[in-house]
Amino acid sequence: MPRGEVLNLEQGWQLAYAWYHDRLDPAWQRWPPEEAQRILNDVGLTSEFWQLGL
Amino acid sequence: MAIPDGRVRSYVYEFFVDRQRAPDASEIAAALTISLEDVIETFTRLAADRVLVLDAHRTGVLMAEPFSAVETRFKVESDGHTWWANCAWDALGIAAALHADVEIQSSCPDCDRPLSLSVIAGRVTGDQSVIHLAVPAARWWDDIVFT
Repeated sequence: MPRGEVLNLEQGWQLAYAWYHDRLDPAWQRWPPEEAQRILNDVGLTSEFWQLGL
Repeated sequence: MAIPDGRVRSYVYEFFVDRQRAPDASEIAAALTISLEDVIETFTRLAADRVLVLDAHRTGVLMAEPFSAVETRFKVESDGHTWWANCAWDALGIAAALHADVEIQSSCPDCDRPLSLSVIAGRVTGDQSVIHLAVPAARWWDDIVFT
């Protein structure tokens, strides 16, 4: 298995909140890849590992 | 009569929140007064759009992220209800989606040591564990169940 990436709890919570806070909104739609990348970037996940390969 | 795919998606999530499990296709068909065939076709489109993850038969929901339809290593409890999450990220994601305080029970995938976390008033506390992601972002959907 590749080594991958490790997040501490606070980083994990920030990512989870950014990714899921509006998931129960009936109007929610899957973001375009650029928006998903922006969410990752906004919580500081900018290394190669976090690149969605747009 | 067909209904928007988003209505089926929304119903699946409402059901997960209210009943702590995935609805089966017949329950969705009955609730939304559409045919079973329409539900299955909608499932297929939502899975193609990576909105739902289907089971091996492609006729049921396995994941409506962050919720899991099957028991996992990540148990999330809030207000007397229990959900299962797909991974550590998703366990915290259930707290984020519900906007609720939760208790998370899990265990270390390496040594099986029990792990306990809480999200209270928007702050995460608990065992000083870490979240390990093995699969790079560009390959998450190659095999989302493994991811």
